[in-house]
Amino acid sequence: MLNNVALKTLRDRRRSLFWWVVGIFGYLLGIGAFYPIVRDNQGQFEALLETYPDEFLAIMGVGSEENLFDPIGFMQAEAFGWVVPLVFAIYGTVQGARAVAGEEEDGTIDLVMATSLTRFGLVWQKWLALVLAELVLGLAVFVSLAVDSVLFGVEIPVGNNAAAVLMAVLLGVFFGSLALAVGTGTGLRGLTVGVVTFAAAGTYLLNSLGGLVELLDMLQPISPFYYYDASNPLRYGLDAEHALVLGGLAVVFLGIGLLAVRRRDLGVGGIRLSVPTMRKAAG
Amino acid sequence: MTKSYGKARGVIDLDLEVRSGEVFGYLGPNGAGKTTTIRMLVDLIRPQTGTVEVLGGSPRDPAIRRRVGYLPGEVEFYSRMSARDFLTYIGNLRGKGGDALAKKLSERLDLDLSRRIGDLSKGNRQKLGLVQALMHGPELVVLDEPTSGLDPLVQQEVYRLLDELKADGVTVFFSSHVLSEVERVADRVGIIREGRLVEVEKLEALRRKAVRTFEVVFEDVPHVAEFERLDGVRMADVHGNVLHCQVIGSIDELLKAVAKHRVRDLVSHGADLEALFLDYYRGEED
Repeated sequence: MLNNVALKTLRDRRRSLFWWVVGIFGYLLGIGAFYPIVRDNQGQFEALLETYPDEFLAIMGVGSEENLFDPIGFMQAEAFGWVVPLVFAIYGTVQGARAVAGEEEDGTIDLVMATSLTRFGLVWQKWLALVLAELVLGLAVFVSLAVDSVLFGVEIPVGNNAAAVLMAVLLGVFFGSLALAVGTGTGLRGLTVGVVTFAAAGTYLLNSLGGLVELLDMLQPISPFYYYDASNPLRYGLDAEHALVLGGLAVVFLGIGLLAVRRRDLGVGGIRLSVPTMRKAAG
Repeated sequence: MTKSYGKARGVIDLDLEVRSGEVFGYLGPNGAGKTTTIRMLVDLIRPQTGTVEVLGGSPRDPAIRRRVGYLPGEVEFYSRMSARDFLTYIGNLRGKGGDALAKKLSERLDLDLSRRIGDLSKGNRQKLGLVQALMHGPELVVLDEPTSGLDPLVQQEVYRLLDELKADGVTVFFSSHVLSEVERVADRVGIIREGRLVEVEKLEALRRKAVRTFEVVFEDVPHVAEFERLDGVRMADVHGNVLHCQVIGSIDELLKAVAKHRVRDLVSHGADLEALFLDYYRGEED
Protein backbone atom coordinates (compact mmCIF):
# COMPACT_ATOMS: atom_id res chain seq x y z
CA MET A 1 0.00 0.00 0.00
CA LEU A 2 3.01 2.29 0.07
CA ASN A 3 4.00 1.80 -3.54
CA ASN A 4 2.45 4.95 -4.91
CA VAL A 5 0.36 7.99 -4.04
CA ALA A 6 -2.97 6.38 -4.99
CA LEU A 7 -2.56 3.33 -2.77
CA LYS A 8 -1.04 5.36 0.04
CA THR A 9 -3.99 7.76 -0.09
CA LEU A 10 -6.45 4.86 0.10
CA ARG A 11 -4.46 3.45 2.99
CA ASP A 12 -4.74 6.79 4.81
CA ARG A 13 -8.45 6.89 4.17
CA ARG A 14 -9.20 3.31 5.12
CA ARG A 15 -10.53 4.04 8.57
CA SER A 16 -12.79 6.89 7.57
CA LEU A 17 -13.93 5.01 4.47
CA PHE A 18 -14.79 2.05 6.68
CA TRP A 19 -17.13 4.21 8.75
CA TRP A 20 -18.71 5.76 5.67
CA VAL A 21 -19.35 2.21 4.41
CA VAL A 22 -20.79 1.17 7.77
CA GLY A 23 -23.00 4.24 7.79
CA ILE A 24 -24.50 3.86 4.33
CA PHE A 25 -24.79 0.09 4.68
CA GLY A 26 -26.56 0.42 8.01
CA TYR A 27 -28.87 3.11 6.70
CA LEU A 28 -29.92 1.08 3.66
CA LEU A 29 -30.43 -2.03 5.76
CA GLY A 30 -32.58 -0.08 8.19
CA ILE A 31 -34.61 1.42 5.36
CA GLY A 32 -35.00 -2.06 3.83
CA ALA A 33 -36.29 -3.43 7.12
CA PHE A 34 -38.89 -0.67 7.13
CA TYR A 35 -40.19 -1.60 3.66
CA PRO A 36 -42.56 -4.47 4.68
CA ILE A 37 -44.33 -2.10 7.09
CA VAL A 38 -44.84 0.50 4.38
CA ARG A 39 -46.00 -2.08 1.86
CA ASP A 40 -48.49 -3.62 4.27
CA ASN A 41 -49.92 -0.27 5.34
CA GLN A 42 -50.00 1.40 1.97
CA GLY A 43 -53.39 3.06 2.55
CA GLN A 44 -52.39 4.81 5.74
CA PHE A 45 -49.09 6.02 4.28
CA GLU A 46 -50.83 7.32 1.18
CA ALA A 47 -53.14 9.34 3.38
CA LEU A 48 -50.14 10.69 5.26
CA LEU A 49 -48.31 11.67 2.07
CA GLU A 50 -51.38 13.54 0.89
CA THR A 51 -50.80 15.98 3.71
CA TYR A 52 -47.25 16.86 2.59
CA PRO A 53 -46.72 19.74 0.16
CA ASP A 54 -45.22 18.79 -3.20
CA GLU A 55 -42.20 21.04 -2.56
CA PHE A 56 -41.29 19.05 0.52
CA LEU A 57 -41.59 15.76 -1.31
CA ALA A 58 -39.54 17.12 -4.18
CA ILE A 59 -36.67 18.04 -1.88
CA MET A 60 -36.84 14.52 -0.48
CA GLY A 61 -36.40 13.26 -4.02
CA VAL A 62 -39.97 12.02 -4.41
CA GLY A 63 -41.33 12.78 -7.84
CA SER A 64 -45.08 13.20 -8.13
CA GLU A 65 -45.44 10.40 -10.67
CA GLU A 66 -43.49 7.89 -8.57
CA ASN A 67 -45.13 4.82 -7.12
CA LEU A 68 -43.76 4.91 -3.61
CA PHE A 69 -45.02 1.52 -2.57
CA ASP A 70 -43.23 -0.82 -4.89
CA PRO A 71 -39.63 -1.69 -3.91
CA ILE A 72 -38.04 0.58 -6.51
CA GLY A 73 -40.21 3.58 -5.74
CA PHE A 74 -39.67 3.05 -2.05
CA MET A 75 -35.89 2.90 -2.37
CA GLN A 76 -35.89 5.88 -4.71
CA ALA A 77 -37.83 7.94 -2.19
CA GLU A 78 -35.99 6.82 0.92
CA ALA A 79 -32.44 6.48 -0.34
CA PHE A 80 -31.59 7.22 -3.96
CA GLY A 81 -33.59 10.42 -4.05
CA TRP A 82 -31.49 12.19 -1.45
CA VAL A 83 -29.39 10.27 1.11
CA VAL A 84 -27.34 8.27 -1.37
CA PRO A 85 -26.45 11.11 -3.77
CA LEU A 86 -25.69 13.48 -0.91
CA VAL A 87 -23.45 10.92 0.81
CA PHE A 88 -21.51 10.30 -2.40
CA ALA A 89 -21.27 14.01 -3.18
CA ILE A 90 -20.14 14.96 0.33
CA TYR A 91 -17.61 12.14 0.50
CA GLY A 92 -16.24 13.13 -2.90
CA THR A 93 -16.04 16.80 -1.94
CA VAL A 94 -14.15 16.10 1.26
CA GLN A 95 -11.71 13.70 -0.41
CA GLY A 96 -11.18 15.93 -3.43
CA ALA A 97 -10.43 18.92 -1.22
CA ARG A 98 -7.99 16.96 0.90
CA ALA A 99 -6.23 15.44 -2.09
CA VAL A 100 -3.73 18.16 -2.91
CA ALA A 101 -4.82 21.19 -0.88
CA GLY A 102 -4.86 19.04 2.25
CA GLU A 103 -1.28 17.89 1.70
CA GLU A 104 -0.27 21.48 1.07
CA GLU A 105 -1.90 22.77 4.24
CA ASP A 106 -0.46 19.92 6.29
CA GLY A 107 2.98 20.67 4.88
CA THR A 108 3.48 17.06 3.80
CA ILE A 109 3.64 18.12 0.15
CA ASP A 110 7.25 19.27 0.60
CA LEU A 111 8.78 15.87 1.15
CA VAL A 112 6.49 14.15 -1.32
CA MET A 113 7.18 16.55 -4.18
CA ALA A 114 10.90 16.73 -3.51
CA THR A 115 11.07 13.09 -4.63
CA SER A 116 10.97 12.25 -8.31
CA LEU A 117 7.17 12.22 -8.26
CA THR A 118 5.80 14.58 -10.93
CA ARG A 119 3.06 17.08 -10.24
CA PHE A 120 1.03 15.36 -12.94
CA GLY A 121 1.53 12.04 -11.15
CA LEU A 122 0.47 13.49 -7.81
CA VAL A 123 -2.83 14.90 -9.10
CA TRP A 124 -3.67 11.97 -11.31
CA GLN A 125 -3.04 9.43 -8.57
CA LYS A 126 -5.00 11.44 -6.02
CA TRP A 127 -7.88 11.40 -8.49
CA LEU A 128 -7.52 7.66 -8.96
CA ALA A 129 -7.69 7.17 -5.18
CA LEU A 130 -10.88 9.26 -5.12
CA VAL A 131 -12.48 7.13 -7.85
CA LEU A 132 -11.50 3.90 -6.09
CA ALA A 133 -12.86 5.12 -2.75
CA GLU A 134 -16.16 6.11 -4.37
CA LEU A 135 -16.33 2.65 -5.97
CA VAL A 136 -15.87 1.04 -2.55
CA LEU A 137 -18.73 3.18 -1.26
CA GLY A 138 -20.75 2.14 -4.32
CA LEU A 139 -20.05 -1.51 -3.68
CA ALA A 140 -21.39 -1.08 -0.15
CA VAL A 141 -24.64 0.34 -1.52
CA PHE A 142 -24.91 -2.39 -4.12
CA VAL A 143 -24.42 -5.16 -1.54
CA SER A 144 -26.79 -3.63 0.98
CA LEU A 145 -29.54 -3.45 -1.66
CA ALA A 146 -28.92 -7.08 -2.51
CA VAL A 147 -29.19 -7.94 1.19
CA ASP A 148 -32.41 -5.89 1.44
CA SER A 149 -33.82 -7.92 -1.42
CA VAL A 150 -33.08 -11.24 0.27
CA LEU A 151 -34.09 -10.24 3.81
CA PHE A 152 -36.97 -7.83 3.31
CA GLY A 153 -38.27 -8.48 -0.18
CA VAL A 154 -37.13 -5.12 -1.55
CA GLU A 155 -36.72 -6.60 -5.01
CA ILE A 156 -34.67 -4.55 -7.40
CA PRO A 157 -33.19 -6.06 -10.55
CA VAL A 158 -29.43 -6.46 -10.22
CA GLY A 159 -28.82 -4.46 -13.40
CA ASN A 160 -30.90 -1.54 -12.12
CA ASN A 161 -29.17 -1.72 -8.76
CA ALA A 162 -25.80 -1.54 -10.52
CA ALA A 163 -26.96 1.31 -12.78
CA ALA A 164 -28.20 3.41 -9.86
CA VAL A 165 -25.01 2.73 -7.91
CA LEU A 166 -22.88 3.67 -10.91
CA MET A 167 -24.71 6.98 -11.23
CA ALA A 168 -24.14 7.66 -7.53
CA VAL A 169 -20.45 6.86 -7.93
CA LEU A 170 -20.22 9.15 -10.95
CA LEU A 171 -21.95 11.93 -9.04
CA GLY A 172 -19.48 11.50 -6.18
CA VAL A 173 -16.56 11.49 -8.61
CA PHE A 174 -18.00 14.59 -10.28
CA PHE A 175 -18.00 16.60 -7.05
CA GLY A 176 -14.72 15.03 -5.94
CA SER A 177 -13.08 16.06 -9.20
CA LEU A 178 -14.50 19.55 -8.92
CA ALA A 179 -13.07 19.80 -5.41
CA LEU A 180 -9.77 18.39 -6.62
CA ALA A 181 -9.61 21.05 -9.34
CA VAL A 182 -10.50 23.91 -6.99
CA GLY A 183 -8.18 22.59 -4.27
CA THR A 184 -5.33 22.07 -6.69
CA GLY A 185 -5.82 25.51 -8.14
CA THR A 186 -5.93 27.32 -4.80
CA GLY A 187 -4.12 25.12 -2.29
CA LEU A 188 -6.84 25.96 0.22
CA ARG A 189 -8.82 23.06 1.65
CA GLY A 190 -11.38 25.03 3.64
CA LEU A 191 -12.21 27.33 0.77
CA THR A 192 -12.57 24.35 -1.53
CA VAL A 193 -14.98 22.50 0.74
CA GLY A 194 -17.00 25.69 1.11
CA VAL A 195 -17.21 26.47 -2.60
CA VAL A 196 -18.02 22.93 -3.68
CA THR A 197 -20.54 22.36 -0.89
CA PHE A 198 -22.27 25.56 -1.92
CA ALA A 199 -22.31 24.38 -5.52
CA ALA A 200 -23.65 20.97 -4.51
CA ALA A 201 -26.39 22.36 -2.27
CA GLY A 202 -27.43 24.91 -4.88
CA THR A 203 -27.59 22.46 -7.75
CA TYR A 204 -29.37 19.91 -5.57
CA LEU A 205 -32.13 22.37 -4.76
CA LEU A 206 -32.25 23.52 -8.37
CA ASN A 207 -32.83 19.98 -9.54
CA SER A 208 -35.28 19.07 -6.79
CA LEU A 209 -37.47 22.13 -7.22
CA GLY A 210 -37.02 22.24 -10.98
CA GLY A 211 -40.04 20.05 -11.50
CA LEU A 212 -42.23 22.47 -9.58
CA VAL A 213 -41.12 25.90 -10.68
CA GLU A 214 -41.29 26.59 -14.37
CA LEU A 215 -38.29 28.90 -14.51
CA LEU A 216 -36.10 26.39 -12.69
CA ASP A 217 -37.32 23.67 -14.98
CA MET A 218 -35.23 25.12 -17.79
CA LEU A 219 -32.20 25.33 -15.56
CA GLN A 220 -32.37 21.73 -14.35
CA PRO A 221 -29.85 20.48 -16.93
CA ILE A 222 -27.08 22.57 -15.37
CA SER A 223 -27.43 20.53 -12.18
CA PRO A 224 -25.31 17.38 -11.89
CA PHE A 225 -28.12 15.91 -9.81
CA TYR A 226 -30.31 16.09 -12.90
CA TYR A 227 -27.98 13.74 -14.77
CA TYR A 228 -27.77 11.58 -11.71
CA ASP A 229 -31.44 10.70 -11.52
CA ALA A 230 -33.56 12.32 -14.22
CA SER A 231 -33.58 9.02 -16.07
CA ASN A 232 -34.46 7.10 -12.89
CA PRO A 233 -31.83 4.39 -13.31
CA LEU A 234 -33.21 2.38 -10.39
CA ARG A 235 -36.39 1.80 -12.38
CA TYR A 236 -35.27 2.03 -15.99
CA GLY A 237 -31.59 1.10 -15.92
CA LEU A 238 -28.56 3.01 -17.08
CA ASP A 239 -28.84 6.13 -19.21
CA ALA A 240 -25.47 6.10 -20.94
CA GLU A 241 -25.70 9.72 -22.05
CA HIS A 242 -26.29 11.01 -18.55
CA ALA A 243 -23.50 8.79 -17.24
CA LEU A 244 -21.18 10.21 -19.88
CA VAL A 245 -22.04 13.77 -18.95
CA LEU A 246 -21.09 13.22 -15.31
CA GLY A 247 -18.05 11.10 -16.08
CA GLY A 248 -16.90 13.40 -18.88
CA LEU A 249 -17.14 16.51 -16.72
CA ALA A 250 -15.24 14.74 -13.96
CA VAL A 251 -12.44 14.08 -16.43
CA VAL A 252 -12.54 17.73 -17.52
CA PHE A 253 -12.13 18.77 -13.87
CA LEU A 254 -9.22 16.38 -13.54
CA GLY A 255 -7.68 18.05 -16.59
CA ILE A 256 -8.15 21.48 -15.01
CA GLY A 257 -6.48 20.21 -11.84
CA LEU A 258 -3.56 18.87 -13.85
CA LEU A 259 -3.13 22.18 -15.63
CA ALA A 260 -3.55 24.23 -12.45
CA VAL A 261 -0.82 22.42 -10.56
CA ARG A 262 1.74 22.81 -13.34
CA ARG A 263 2.32 26.50 -12.81
CA ARG A 264 1.68 26.94 -9.16
CA ASP A 265 3.87 27.40 -6.13
CA LEU A 266 3.15 24.54 -3.80
CA GLY A 267 2.56 24.79 -0.07
CA VAL A 268 2.59 28.55 0.15
CA GLY A 269 -0.80 28.76 1.81
CA GLY A 270 -2.96 30.06 -0.95
CA ILE A 271 -3.14 31.87 -4.22
CA ARG A 272 -0.13 34.02 -4.81
CA LEU A 273 -2.06 37.27 -4.60
CA SER A 274 -2.53 37.19 -0.87
CA VAL A 275 0.74 38.40 0.58
CA PRO A 276 -0.06 38.20 4.30
CA THR A 277 -1.03 34.53 4.17
CA MET A 278 2.40 33.21 3.19
CA ARG A 279 3.00 30.63 5.82
CA LYS A 280 6.05 28.64 4.87
CA ALA A 281 7.41 30.56 1.99
CA ALA A 282 9.82 32.74 3.83
CA GLY A 283 12.98 31.64 5.56
CA MET B 1 16.67 34.92 -9.89
CA THR B 2 13.86 36.76 -8.22
CA LYS B 3 10.95 35.44 -6.25
CA SER B 4 8.95 38.16 -4.67
CA TYR B 5 5.93 37.95 -2.44
CA GLY B 6 5.69 41.68 -2.05
CA LYS B 7 6.83 43.51 1.04
CA ALA B 8 10.24 42.24 2.14
CA ARG B 9 9.47 38.65 1.28
CA GLY B 10 11.18 36.24 -1.03
CA VAL B 11 14.49 36.85 -2.77
CA ILE B 12 15.57 39.61 -5.12
CA ASP B 13 18.18 39.34 -7.88
CA LEU B 14 19.78 36.36 -6.25
CA ASP B 15 22.85 35.18 -8.12
CA LEU B 16 24.56 32.32 -6.41
CA GLU B 17 26.67 29.42 -7.50
CA VAL B 18 27.50 26.50 -5.28
CA ARG B 19 30.43 24.41 -6.42
CA SER B 20 30.29 20.69 -6.67
CA GLY B 21 31.55 19.01 -3.53
CA GLU B 22 31.52 22.03 -1.27
CA VAL B 23 29.60 22.66 1.90
CA PHE B 24 27.83 25.95 1.51
CA GLY B 25 26.32 27.69 4.49
CA TYR B 26 23.41 29.95 3.77
CA LEU B 27 23.18 32.39 6.55
CA GLY B 28 20.55 34.90 7.43
CA PRO B 29 18.03 35.93 10.03
CA ASN B 30 14.54 34.47 10.01
CA GLY B 31 12.47 35.83 7.14
CA ALA B 32 15.52 36.77 5.04
CA GLY B 33 14.59 34.48 2.15
CA LYS B 34 16.53 31.33 3.00
CA THR B 35 13.54 29.01 2.80
CA THR B 36 12.31 30.66 -0.37
CA THR B 37 15.67 29.98 -2.00
CA ILE B 38 15.75 26.41 -0.81
CA ARG B 39 12.21 25.58 -1.90
CA MET B 40 13.10 26.78 -5.38
CA LEU B 41 15.96 24.29 -5.48
CA VAL B 42 13.48 21.42 -5.29
CA ASP B 43 10.85 23.02 -7.54
CA LEU B 44 8.21 23.46 -4.87
CA ILE B 45 8.11 27.11 -5.86
CA ARG B 46 9.42 28.72 -9.01
CA PRO B 47 11.28 31.95 -9.63
CA GLN B 48 9.50 34.82 -11.35
CA THR B 49 12.63 35.75 -13.23
CA GLY B 50 15.85 33.85 -13.73
CA THR B 51 16.54 30.16 -13.59
CA VAL B 52 17.54 27.54 -11.09
CA GLU B 53 20.02 24.93 -12.18
CA VAL B 54 20.66 21.90 -10.03
CA LEU B 55 23.20 19.19 -10.84
CA GLY B 56 23.38 20.45 -14.39
CA GLY B 57 19.63 20.31 -14.97
CA SER B 58 16.36 21.79 -13.91
CA PRO B 59 14.81 20.82 -10.59
CA ARG B 60 11.60 20.34 -12.57
CA ASP B 61 13.17 17.21 -13.97
CA PRO B 62 12.23 14.29 -11.69
CA ALA B 63 15.48 12.54 -12.55
CA ILE B 64 17.37 15.51 -11.12
CA ARG B 65 15.28 15.60 -7.96
CA ARG B 66 15.98 11.92 -7.43
CA ARG B 67 19.64 12.82 -6.97
CA VAL B 68 18.84 15.48 -4.38
CA GLY B 69 18.17 15.06 -0.68
CA TYR B 70 15.97 17.73 0.90
CA LEU B 71 15.08 18.58 4.46
CA PRO B 72 12.43 21.31 4.82
CA GLY B 73 12.69 23.96 7.48
CA GLU B 74 9.47 23.00 9.17
CA VAL B 75 9.37 19.35 8.31
CA GLU B 76 5.90 17.80 8.37
CA PHE B 77 5.03 14.12 8.14
CA TYR B 78 1.96 11.90 8.08
CA SER B 79 1.55 11.62 11.81
CA ARG B 80 -0.30 8.30 11.75
CA MET B 81 2.37 6.44 9.83
CA SER B 82 5.30 4.71 11.43
CA ALA B 83 8.68 6.21 10.69
CA ARG B 84 9.67 3.05 8.84
CA ASP B 85 6.55 3.10 6.62
CA PHE B 86 7.20 6.72 5.83
CA LEU B 87 10.74 5.99 4.69
CA THR B 88 9.45 3.09 2.57
CA TYR B 89 6.89 5.39 0.95
CA ILE B 90 9.39 8.14 0.19
CA GLY B 91 11.83 5.54 -1.13
CA ASN B 92 9.13 4.17 -3.43
CA LEU B 93 8.21 7.64 -4.72
CA ARG B 94 11.86 8.23 -5.53
CA GLY B 95 12.12 4.85 -7.15
CA LYS B 96 15.32 4.54 -5.22
CA GLY B 97 14.94 2.72 -1.92
CA GLY B 98 17.81 3.15 0.49
CA ASP B 99 16.56 0.85 3.26
CA ALA B 100 20.05 -0.21 4.29
CA LEU B 101 21.38 3.32 4.58
CA ALA B 102 18.18 4.45 6.32
CA LYS B 103 18.64 1.75 8.92
CA LYS B 104 22.27 2.69 9.45
CA LEU B 105 21.50 6.39 9.74
CA SER B 106 18.64 5.88 12.18
CA GLU B 107 20.78 3.69 14.39
CA ARG B 108 23.46 6.31 14.35
CA LEU B 109 21.02 9.07 15.23
CA ASP B 110 19.31 6.82 17.76
CA LEU B 111 15.94 7.03 16.01
CA ASP B 112 13.33 4.32 16.62
CA LEU B 113 11.74 3.61 13.23
CA SER B 114 8.97 1.43 14.61
CA ARG B 115 7.23 4.34 16.33
CA ARG B 116 4.32 6.30 15.00
CA ILE B 117 5.54 9.65 13.71
CA GLY B 118 2.88 11.47 15.70
CA ASP B 119 4.42 10.07 18.88
CA LEU B 120 7.93 11.27 18.05
CA SER B 121 9.41 14.33 19.71
CA LYS B 122 10.33 17.34 17.59
CA GLY B 123 13.96 16.32 17.74
CA ASN B 124 13.19 12.80 16.56
CA ARG B 125 11.03 14.09 13.73
CA GLN B 126 13.96 16.24 12.67
CA LYS B 127 16.16 13.15 12.71
CA LEU B 128 13.63 11.34 10.53
CA GLY B 129 13.73 14.30 8.17
CA LEU B 130 17.50 13.96 7.96
CA VAL B 131 17.33 10.22 7.38
CA GLN B 132 14.90 10.59 4.48
CA ALA B 133 17.09 13.32 2.98
CA LEU B 134 20.22 11.16 3.07
CA MET B 135 19.00 7.56 2.72
CA HIS B 136 19.23 7.38 -1.08
CA GLY B 137 22.83 8.54 -1.29
CA PRO B 138 22.11 11.91 -2.94
CA GLU B 139 24.72 13.92 -4.83
CA LEU B 140 23.34 17.18 -3.52
CA VAL B 141 21.88 17.66 -0.08
CA VAL B 142 19.72 20.72 0.61
CA LEU B 143 19.01 21.24 4.27
CA ASP B 144 16.91 24.03 5.73
CA GLU B 145 18.04 24.59 9.32
CA PRO B 146 19.13 20.98 9.76
CA THR B 147 19.99 21.11 13.45
CA SER B 148 16.93 22.98 14.65
CA GLY B 149 15.25 21.11 17.47
CA LEU B 150 18.18 18.76 18.05
CA ASP B 151 19.99 18.53 21.33
CA PRO B 152 23.71 19.47 21.29
CA LEU B 153 24.96 15.89 21.22
CA VAL B 154 22.87 15.01 18.18
CA GLN B 155 23.86 18.32 16.61
CA GLN B 156 27.49 17.23 16.83
CA GLU B 157 26.53 13.94 15.21
CA VAL B 158 24.88 15.84 12.38
CA TYR B 159 28.02 17.92 11.90
CA ARG B 160 30.03 14.72 11.67
CA LEU B 161 27.54 13.41 9.10
CA LEU B 162 27.99 16.57 7.06
CA ASP B 163 31.77 16.17 7.29
CA GLU B 164 31.44 12.64 5.97
CA LEU B 165 29.17 13.73 3.15
CA LYS B 166 31.77 16.27 2.20
CA ALA B 167 34.51 13.66 2.33
CA ASP B 168 32.39 11.53 -0.02
CA GLY B 169 32.19 14.40 -2.48
CA VAL B 170 28.54 15.24 -1.78
CA THR B 171 27.58 18.87 -2.24
CA VAL B 172 25.80 20.32 0.76
CA PHE B 173 23.71 23.48 0.77
CA PHE B 174 22.37 24.28 4.18
CA SER B 175 20.74 27.26 5.77
CA SER B 176 21.20 28.42 9.28
CA HIS B 177 20.84 31.38 11.51
CA VAL B 178 23.29 29.86 13.96
CA LEU B 179 26.77 31.18 13.20
CA SER B 180 28.72 28.65 15.18
CA GLU B 181 27.34 25.78 13.13
CA VAL B 182 28.17 27.50 9.87
CA GLU B 183 31.67 28.07 11.16
CA ARG B 184 31.90 24.46 12.16
CA VAL B 185 30.95 22.86 8.85
CA ALA B 186 30.87 25.28 5.92
CA ASP B 187 33.57 25.94 3.31
CA ARG B 188 31.87 29.02 1.98
CA VAL B 189 29.14 31.18 3.30
CA GLY B 190 26.45 33.27 1.67
CA ILE B 191 24.79 35.90 3.76
CA ILE B 192 21.26 36.88 2.87
CA ARG B 193 19.35 39.76 4.32
CA GLU B 194 15.87 40.90 3.37
CA GLY B 195 15.94 38.82 0.22
CA ARG B 196 19.28 40.08 -1.05
CA LEU B 197 22.54 38.21 -1.03
CA VAL B 198 24.94 40.59 0.69
CA GLU B 199 28.09 38.51 0.76
CA VAL B 200 29.54 35.26 -0.49
CA GLU B 201 32.88 34.44 1.04
CA LYS B 202 35.15 31.69 2.04
CA LEU B 203 34.83 31.24 5.72
CA GLU B 204 38.49 32.20 6.19
CA ALA B 205 37.92 35.52 4.45
CA LEU B 206 34.85 36.09 6.52
CA ARG B 207 36.78 35.37 9.66
CA ARG B 208 39.42 37.87 8.62
CA LYS B 209 36.71 40.44 8.40
CA ALA B 210 35.17 39.41 11.63
CA VAL B 211 35.36 41.52 14.71
CA ARG B 212 37.26 40.39 17.80
CA THR B 213 36.57 42.00 21.10
CA PHE B 214 39.36 42.42 23.66
CA GLU B 215 39.28 43.33 27.27
CA VAL B 216 42.69 44.11 28.77
CA VAL B 217 43.29 44.83 32.45
CA PHE B 218 46.54 46.75 33.06
CA GLU B 219 48.60 47.28 36.22
CA ASP B 220 48.82 50.95 35.33
CA VAL B 221 46.43 53.35 33.62
CA PRO B 222 47.04 53.61 29.87
CA HIS B 223 45.92 56.39 27.59
CA VAL B 224 43.24 55.63 25.05
CA ALA B 225 45.20 57.43 22.29
CA GLU B 226 47.78 54.63 22.42
CA PHE B 227 45.22 52.22 20.97
CA GLU B 228 42.54 53.97 19.04
CA ARG B 229 44.67 54.83 15.99
CA LEU B 230 46.19 51.37 15.60
CA ASP B 231 45.73 49.36 12.43
CA GLY B 232 42.62 47.23 12.63
CA VAL B 233 41.31 48.75 15.83
CA ARG B 234 37.78 49.78 15.26
CA MET B 235 36.82 51.00 18.67
CA ALA B 236 38.84 51.58 21.83
CA ASP B 237 37.69 52.73 25.20
CA VAL B 238 39.62 53.04 28.47
CA HIS B 239 37.95 53.05 31.85
CA GLY B 240 40.48 53.31 34.64
CA ASN B 241 42.97 50.54 34.02
CA VAL B 242 40.68 48.53 31.69
CA LEU B 243 40.76 48.73 27.92
CA HIS B 244 37.84 47.55 25.79
CA CYS B 245 38.45 47.40 22.10
CA GLN B 246 37.27 45.80 18.89
CA VAL B 247 39.71 44.68 16.21
CA ILE B 248 39.10 43.65 12.63
CA GLY B 249 41.70 41.42 11.01
CA SER B 250 45.25 41.29 12.43
CA ILE B 251 45.69 41.79 16.15
CA ASP B 252 49.48 42.19 15.87
CA GLU B 253 49.63 45.96 16.39
CA LEU B 254 47.26 45.88 19.28
CA LEU B 255 49.26 43.21 21.08
CA LYS B 256 52.48 45.15 20.60
CA ALA B 257 50.92 48.27 22.04
CA VAL B 258 49.47 46.36 24.93
CA ALA B 259 52.87 44.76 25.65
CA LYS B 260 54.36 48.14 26.45
CA HIS B 261 52.44 47.98 29.70
CA ARG B 262 52.30 45.49 32.54
CA VAL B 263 49.24 43.39 31.84
CA ARG B 264 47.18 41.77 34.60
CA ASP B 265 44.62 40.05 32.41
CA LEU B 266 43.52 39.74 28.79
CA VAL B 267 40.22 38.32 27.58
CA SER B 268 39.48 37.85 23.89
CA HIS B 269 36.11 37.01 22.46
CA GLY B 270 37.15 35.05 19.37
CA ALA B 271 36.32 35.91 15.79
CA ASP B 272 32.79 36.96 16.28
CA LEU B 273 30.72 36.27 13.19
CA GLU B 274 27.72 37.40 15.11
CA ALA B 275 29.08 40.90 15.26
CA LEU B 276 29.92 40.81 11.57
CA PHE B 277 26.49 39.50 10.88
CA LEU B 278 24.91 42.26 12.85
CA ASP B 279 26.92 44.72 10.79
CA TYR B 280 25.32 43.41 7.66
CA TYR B 281 22.03 43.44 9.36
CA ARG B 282 22.43 47.04 10.38
CA GLY B 283 23.53 47.94 6.87
CA GLU B 284 20.12 49.08 5.84
CA GLU B 285 19.69 51.50 8.71
CA ASP B 286 23.06 53.22 8.28
